[in-house]
Amino acid sequence: MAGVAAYYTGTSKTFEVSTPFGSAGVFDNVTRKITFNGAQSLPANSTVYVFIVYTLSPVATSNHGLDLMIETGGITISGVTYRGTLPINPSPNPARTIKPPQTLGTITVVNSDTTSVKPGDTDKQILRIDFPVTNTGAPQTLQSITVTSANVSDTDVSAFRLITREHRRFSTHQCRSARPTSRSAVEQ
Amino acid sequence: MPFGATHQPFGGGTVTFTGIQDFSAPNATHSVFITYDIANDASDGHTVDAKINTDHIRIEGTTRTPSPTAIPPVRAL
Repeated sequence: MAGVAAYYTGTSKTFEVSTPFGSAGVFDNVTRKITFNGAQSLPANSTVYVFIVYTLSPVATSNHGLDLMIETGGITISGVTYRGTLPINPSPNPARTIKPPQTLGTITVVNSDTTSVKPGDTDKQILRIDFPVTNTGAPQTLQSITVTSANVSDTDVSAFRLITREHRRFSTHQCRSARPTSRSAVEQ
Repeated sequence: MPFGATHQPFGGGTVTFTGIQDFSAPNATHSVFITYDIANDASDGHTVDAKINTDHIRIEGTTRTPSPTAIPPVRAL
């Protein structure tokens, strides 16, 4: 283990890192515990989520299991301790197992569509970036992509997105400039 | 949830999307599409395009360069 951290995601079950809770650290060598301290207001009449995430050592041992538990009284809200969930037994079924990563091949960029576009068009494909992975094992994790404009004028573009495709699962990540468009129809 | 900061224009001609996306399915090609919305007052005859420069992809803690980094043609208005 190289580190452990907690992130609050509000009412969303989707993990993201914009709101850390407490300070990231490592498990104590003796107690094997870490405590995250903070002050996060919880909205009424809702279910909110906190994710615990691990950063793995580059020399982590393959086939080792990773897991944790929250002991009784391990959660404090407004001065009252809560069990939170039933303790999780790390064995014999650890939450995650360390495996060698899948093999990433050559990343390629292609123009997935080169037909003309018109003012007001939305979601028009510009580039497709392909990431071929082979073998089984731990998934390759994409962390960032920097997109460089090759437009005649960036004001011709009102918004742009990254759409990741992993088999049949799609998710859309959008960036939008200050120039709004009035049309919402998708013509592809 | 967004992947990277939202509502940002091309700053200095580039923008970086940062997040965590596992390519979980083994033995598969995973694709990322870059798409544009075209402004209502976009100029006729202009072209729109994007490219990924050297080392501008980060995956598994390592910077990567796609092949090729830029390709013609573009999409014309």
